[in-house]
Amino acid sequence: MNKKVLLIILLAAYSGLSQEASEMIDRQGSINFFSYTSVENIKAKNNQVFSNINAVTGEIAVSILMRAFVFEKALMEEHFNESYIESDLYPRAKFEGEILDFNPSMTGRETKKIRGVFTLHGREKEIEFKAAVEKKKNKYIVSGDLELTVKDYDIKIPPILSPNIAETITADFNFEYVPYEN
Amino acid sequence: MFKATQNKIIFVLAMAVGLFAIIWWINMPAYTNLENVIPDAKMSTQEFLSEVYLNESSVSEEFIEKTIEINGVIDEITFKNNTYTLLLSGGENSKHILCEMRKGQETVLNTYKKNDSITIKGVYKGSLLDAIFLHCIIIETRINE
Repeated sequence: MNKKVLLIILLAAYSGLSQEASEMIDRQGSINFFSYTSVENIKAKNNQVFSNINAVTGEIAVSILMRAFVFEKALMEEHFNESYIESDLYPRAKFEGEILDFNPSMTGRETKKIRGVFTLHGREKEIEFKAAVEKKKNKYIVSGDLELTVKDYDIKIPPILSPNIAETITADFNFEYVPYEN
Repeated sequence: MFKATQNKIIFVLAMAVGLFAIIWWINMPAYTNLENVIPDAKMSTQEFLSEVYLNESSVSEEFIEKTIEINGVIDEITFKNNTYTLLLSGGENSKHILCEMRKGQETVLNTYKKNDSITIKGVYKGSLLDAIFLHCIIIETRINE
């Protein structure tokens, strides 16, 4: 009888632990984006991006606060938020998808494809890109880069400024996930 | 003759305007140093998180892009992507206030550690899991040692 009770307690504890460990978060992920044109190069960084992954299924979600991008000049940030992204109306961008062929028992570093839906400026688009997925002790590191086409997200650039802003924006990202402790 | 002079004047004026625009662009300030900015509100970490997360839609909008003075307790100091960030504990609330520090705060920041009380001033940008402040500066020297 005592052995049965002990077994139930151990199973309950194990299931609780595995459930807890499957949810991993990074509350300070980073995303940098770059726009290169012959007229002007614009770059911005956001070091406060939230992301979580399920370390069993490989599901991944990213939430980006658009106002948290920092530019070289304050005026660039103002234009970005007020004229292009309309951060009052669309304060966050998000990505929901999965790491394809994710192996929960992986060790070291692997290149994986990530597929999902990216929502920016209120417009959704399915995207797929490659990323490096690395496991270090109890931490997962996911990093890589991708290209985004401005017109896919209905971002209007005034004709006078169109030579200054690239049609395709390059973004790189880096997330370091640790087990979520609520 | 008159036409040639007029063209010269227009050319010189255009050059002057162009030069002025270039100088203005180069000297345009990066971001305002909050040192001399009077905060729009002063509150503790817990007070702020309660305001933002209990009244998410209405009240938090009012604070966006406002300079807020926050006092709280340090849960963690991180250095990522060449930037220091302070994580202020939300107490019983599992959420934090993340304060991304302005460049130049490193020396004073390095005198602080986990569980120290601190007062910062920063610009509130919105919330994800945590409330996010940027361009933060420390406005009070340490209280506990």
